[in-house]
Amino acid sequence: MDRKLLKNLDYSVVITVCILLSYSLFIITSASFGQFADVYYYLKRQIVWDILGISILIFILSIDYNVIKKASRYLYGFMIVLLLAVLLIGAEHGGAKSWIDIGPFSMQPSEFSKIIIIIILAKYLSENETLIKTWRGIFLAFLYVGIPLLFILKQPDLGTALVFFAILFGMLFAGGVPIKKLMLIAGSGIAALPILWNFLDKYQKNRLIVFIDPNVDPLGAGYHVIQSKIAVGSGGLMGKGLFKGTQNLLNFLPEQHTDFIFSVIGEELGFIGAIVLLSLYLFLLWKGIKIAMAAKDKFGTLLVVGVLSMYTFHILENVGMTIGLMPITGIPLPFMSYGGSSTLANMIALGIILNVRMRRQKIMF
Amino acid sequence: MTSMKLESRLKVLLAFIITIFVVISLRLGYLQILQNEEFQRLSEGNRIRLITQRAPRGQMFDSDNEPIVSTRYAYTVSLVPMEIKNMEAVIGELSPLLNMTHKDIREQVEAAQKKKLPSYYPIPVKTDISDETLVKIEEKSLELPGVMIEEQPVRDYLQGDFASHLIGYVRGIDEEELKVMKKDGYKIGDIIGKMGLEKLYDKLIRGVDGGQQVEVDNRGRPVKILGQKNPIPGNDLYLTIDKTLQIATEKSMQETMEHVQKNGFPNAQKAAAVAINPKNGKILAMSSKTSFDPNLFIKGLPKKKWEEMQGTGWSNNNVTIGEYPPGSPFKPLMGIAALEEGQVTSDETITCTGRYWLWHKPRCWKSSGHGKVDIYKALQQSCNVYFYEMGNRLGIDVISRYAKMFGLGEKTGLALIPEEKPGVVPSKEWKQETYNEPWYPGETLSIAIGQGFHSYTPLQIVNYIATIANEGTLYRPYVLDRIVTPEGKLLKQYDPQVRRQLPIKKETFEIIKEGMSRVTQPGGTAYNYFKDFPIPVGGKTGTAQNSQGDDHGWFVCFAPVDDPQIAIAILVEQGGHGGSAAGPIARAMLDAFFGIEKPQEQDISPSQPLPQQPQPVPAQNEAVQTPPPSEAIESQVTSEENQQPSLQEHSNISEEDSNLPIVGTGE
Repeated sequence: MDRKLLKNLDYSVVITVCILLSYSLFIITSASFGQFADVYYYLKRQIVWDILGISILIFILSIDYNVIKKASRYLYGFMIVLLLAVLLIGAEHGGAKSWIDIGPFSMQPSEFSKIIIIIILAKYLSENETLIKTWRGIFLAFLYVGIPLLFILKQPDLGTALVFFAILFGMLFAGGVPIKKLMLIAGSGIAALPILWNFLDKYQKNRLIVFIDPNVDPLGAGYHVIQSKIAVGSGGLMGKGLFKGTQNLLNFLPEQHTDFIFSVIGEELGFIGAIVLLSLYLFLLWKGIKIAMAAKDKFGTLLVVGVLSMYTFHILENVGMTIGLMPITGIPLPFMSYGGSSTLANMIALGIILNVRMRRQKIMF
Repeated sequence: MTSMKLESRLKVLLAFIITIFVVISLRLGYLQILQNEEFQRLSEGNRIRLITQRAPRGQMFDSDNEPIVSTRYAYTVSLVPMEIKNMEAVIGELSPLLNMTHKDIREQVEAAQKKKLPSYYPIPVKTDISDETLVKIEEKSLELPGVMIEEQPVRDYLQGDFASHLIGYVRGIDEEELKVMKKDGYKIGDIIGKMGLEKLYDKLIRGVDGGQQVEVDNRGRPVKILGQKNPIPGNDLYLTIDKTLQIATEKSMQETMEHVQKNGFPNAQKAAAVAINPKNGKILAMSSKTSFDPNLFIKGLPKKKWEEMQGTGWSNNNVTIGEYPPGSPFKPLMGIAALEEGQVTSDETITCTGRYWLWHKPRCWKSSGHGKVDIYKALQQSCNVYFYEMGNRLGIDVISRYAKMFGLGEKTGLALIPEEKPGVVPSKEWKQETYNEPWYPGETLSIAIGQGFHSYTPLQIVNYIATIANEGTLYRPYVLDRIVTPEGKLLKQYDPQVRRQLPIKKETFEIIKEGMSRVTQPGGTAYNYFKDFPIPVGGKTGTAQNSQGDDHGWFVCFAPVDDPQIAIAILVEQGGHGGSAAGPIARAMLDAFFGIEKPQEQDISPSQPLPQQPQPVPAQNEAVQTPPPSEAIESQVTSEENQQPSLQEHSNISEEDSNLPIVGTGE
């Protein structure tokens, strides 16, 4: 890689992510207690994912992001094929048919579809600055998202579907769509909620009901919310200590290595541990906004905004559900949750941000 | 849009993000700092605990809807290490109550702790305690902290050692299985199927565990029940197995093998028996020896017993994974091939002088010869010379083609774990690939009488016999008829599947079936076992040579001849001869299947001497010799198994052929 480019790598972002990844390894180990006799089971696997993720990151850095722009249509087509494959030959884990099993590993194509949505939207919005101010232009943007969205809803993966909307809104806003129109769309979306209710699965409805009152079904759908709040709340200011959280060790927490990893942090490392984590995220997002501002072209800016919208929504939804602020949907916490597909997808997204920053010659030269 | 405007929109985005983080932080502060005491109380002072209530596994029924595998409730005593301060003291209190030694209990606890289970996880010490013991322990519960008694559903194999390889057994999930199965919702401590149908259909029959969420005090006692989720029982399996037939099969195999072991074949330790309905491929009975009682794994298997079981092959289902040369039961297939290919007619006779005239001049098992033999007599008396000649006329390629047609050397498609073996149909190509040698025409002669390179599972053999019985329809055998939910709703019905319809003329089958029916009539090799049986039976005895030890005994049959309802294949490893080792088992199975009263004891009971012709015998077979039969047999009836050429005769085979698989025996 060009040395000049390397000089432009944002090392503060790199270091922040390294801290996040190390943090995650400790918590994943703690979350393995009570699930396996081999307490390092998830740790060993996550280290492999992290190494793979870093390799992919380096690969992403080595290509100019404008090359990605040219490839965006093929990537989009590839994504549709993958999502179609999930519907046809996918494997069902935990209620949703979102996976493709490859030997002992499983891949979750919806994780990667988010990135491809960001790329195709960035290309469309940056190349049609006037069109997107019209209803027709906005409709086309919705169409790009809508096609994969249908496949994702079929799985059903409500969490990823919501991430799609977060990405779309963030990018439409940054792309210059009139604010009035955006408000109108959001408003009619909320008005349409009672109709959408009828399309939800029974378990999804349950999750929304217990979000409003977890005590409706304390052993079923409400169980996770209650137990997660007990975990976080009982952690207090300092936490019970790493590997000492009873909610975690006694398995009161569901999926504590993936979706509910934040509850383990809250229980074992307390308010301080949680705030440290949130500060790391906020620093990362703030640096991201600065990179978006300094990007040499609109495409670059929108790529970064798309990734930031994705990260932000993941953090809001994942942390929010563990503390009763959001209804439960299974989406992972970036750089923290155990998982191959999500780790790789997050590292690719990070690579895109760093890539835009490295090639911002507009300002440097 | 100006650059300024973009920047201001990005600033708005940042402000939005910061707002989200502030809200989250405030919420965290509220939960963790303001409400901390309340949540601490919930998490520690009054722990909420989820007590798993194991779902009862679905039952299994036989073809008459009689239960064969059930689930009953039993009390299990467990120790919860987390709540025990002085483990030795608790074990000391417990051991007289449970009638177990201190050492036994400690060993169990230590073995469980080696698995590094979480300390709140109960270690089962004794399952299935009596009501009396239960009362005693409950009376002393104050002195026994951390001792837990749970009522749990346990598997009950109503017939004990009964189709055990087919049904399988259940045990606790182990670490390796957990890694693979975790994503399907399996968890530590689950009881899962480890073999057979229990394993194959585990997901369908395990049900869904329920639970009780209880608040417990600081001594671990439930204070109040917060919620209850009832377990959902698993689905029931209705099998094609006929209970009466299966019981008779198990019993007769046990008795016959003991008898054979005492009479010259001490190594007859393993066997396979399988019965199938030729009209649809339903498996009616399946048994493999050595076998086991799956209930052993429920009460906790003593270490000593477990060690004894190692190396006995207890877990092998010889019906599906045992591969053996077919011996003489291959001869009907030779007959079919020869008739179909126009190489012989039912009128043609071949003269057996006790020795074939070509190649290395292999012997017939009857050294004095069978004289003029047509296809009926050839099957009836199992004349080797006749089939050597058929082999010579057909050639290996045609023989292989017919064997494959009948599904030999090919998986039958039975859904079972572990998966069946495919076997081998020998052919020129196969030999070239395996031994890198060309096919020698002399080897075709071994193949023609079922010896040599063949290797088939008893399941393939029974399916082939069933295909003769039903005159040309090769079914995929199956054992699960339907799955029914606990509410009685039909979940899935399995129907017969035809794998192929064989292009073979009806007259051919009629000739072969007539020949096979003469096997059980006067003059036939199995007459002794069927002479008083009221239903006409088509059969074939056989002996498969075994280079590792004594020969394997085969018997195959179907009945009634004119409308076959059952086909059977039996193999007794190192049982010596098919007639004596496997014939009585087949007879007992047919008696049970057709509900025929047991005839006079002396005729079929293996505890009686086997009828035979008094004659000089080779020395090494002395042990088989039993006193002359109680009733005289017609002089022409030969009990083929006593007429095997001696080793002496084997070595008489001319020198240039000595490297060939021995062809001279058979029967």
